Amino acid sequence: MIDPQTIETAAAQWVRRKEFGDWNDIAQTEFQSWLNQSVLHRVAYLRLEEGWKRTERLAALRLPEFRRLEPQRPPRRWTSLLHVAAAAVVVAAIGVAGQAYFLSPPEDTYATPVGGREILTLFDGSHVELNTDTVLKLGRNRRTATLVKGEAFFQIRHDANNPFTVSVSGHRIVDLGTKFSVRSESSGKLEVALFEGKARIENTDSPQTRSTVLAPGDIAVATAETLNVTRKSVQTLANTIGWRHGVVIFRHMALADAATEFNRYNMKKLVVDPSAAAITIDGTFATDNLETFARVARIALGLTVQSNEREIIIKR
Amino acid sequence: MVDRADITSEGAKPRSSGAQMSTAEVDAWFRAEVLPLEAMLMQYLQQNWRNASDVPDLRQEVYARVYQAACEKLPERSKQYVFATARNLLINRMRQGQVVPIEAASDLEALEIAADSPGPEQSVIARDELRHLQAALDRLPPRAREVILLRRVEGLSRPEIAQRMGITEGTVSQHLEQGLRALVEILGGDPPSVRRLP
Repeated sequence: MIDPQTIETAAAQWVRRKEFGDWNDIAQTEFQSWLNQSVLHRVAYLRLEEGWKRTERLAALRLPEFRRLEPQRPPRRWTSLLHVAAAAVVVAAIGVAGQAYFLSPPEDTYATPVGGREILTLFDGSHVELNTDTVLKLGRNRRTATLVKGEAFFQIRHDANNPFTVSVSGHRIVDLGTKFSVRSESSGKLEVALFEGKARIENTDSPQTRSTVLAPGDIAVATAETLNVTRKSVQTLANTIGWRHGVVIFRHMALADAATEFNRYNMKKLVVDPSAAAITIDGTFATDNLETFARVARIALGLTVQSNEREIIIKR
Repeated sequence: MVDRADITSEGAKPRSSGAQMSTAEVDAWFRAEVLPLEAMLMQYLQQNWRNASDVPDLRQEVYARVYQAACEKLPERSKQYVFATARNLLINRMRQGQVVPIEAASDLEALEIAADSPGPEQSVIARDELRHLQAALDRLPPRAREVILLRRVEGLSRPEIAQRMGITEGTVSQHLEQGLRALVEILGGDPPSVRRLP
């Protein structure tokens, strides 16, 4: 069951997409499908949409100077003619937009900034969540995706005749009815964690390499040449997707690795001096809460913490 | 976390198969009659449920139930209906034994009286609404506030806002979404500290 925070995040995205015109026929279909999935979705959307409508009233704050910059109203007799002209412009614009839509590549690109998160609901009820600093391309048929960078969680409605595939750094993951997450690091390292069902991972750069089928609890770590699969506990696996709820979860993790993880989410960076790098920590932190993390390091671990505009430096 | 497996089973009214009302009618009713009650509803839930972190979930559950019931037939007295639904939900949650706030249970009779008293929302007039909005905006994180003002006051597009603020369009979207969520929460009577958004 999707938690209420996730529903509200998705509802806010729909309001924003409508407001900024990130909209087409596919978006409309996906939106309707999302609304119809649960009355909880509908009421969350209506509530935020109504709130956004209330902010229309802020237009009253426009400064008088701002108003004067607007064009003068044309004389009365011209208005009806202008309406006709405006209608013609609208028709032309739709023509151009329509053409652009059909000429554009058959995929849509979704991107999140550092610290961002986005939930995509596809029209078949499948669900994709993008973590911080991520770029994902989604085929218009909604059965193919390319993870260009970053991390994403997939909850896919299975269709045996038309399996969902994710392409990522020389590999392809083929859904066989699943929930899984994929993380692509700039080093070329790829990590796939399987939560439910089954998925197959293939090396597309060297197709002679045999493919591997993942089972729940499996984490596959792949590079261009290697593919290793290890079985983890459900809890360990769940910790890797704490980001879906806005947290990072560390269990016996070296401070240096924890800092690297934190740095994915924030512009201000944690720097761990080698003298403190190997100390292990436990804890759950909001992804954007560097201060708490630094405080824990100072108070609980007795480390020295120095902070400037761009960095927080931790050392012994 | 509030469990939400069953929307209908403990609802105030059972739901039969075919919906009688059009979606547009129910949406309009929900916006006009139910959403303006949010501040009152939040106050009611906060007073009668011990665990404050459950309250937003309970509120959404109440909304979902009244919406679902309204698909069948719009209630004649919306406000009474909303509060009766909230009351039933709280009673059921208590009986499920997840949490049993005893003093709240003894107050159940009082709950019904609260539902009949006139709400503050009825006295809100247009000028106050603007002041109310500005006060709520003041409590938003500065960047989120700026995005909303640039959009609503200056009417800028997303690329224009991004350029003006020196941030990416993706970040503009993020600020708008988080700002909107926080704003609606504040307008619905959230206590002064802005809730951290995931």
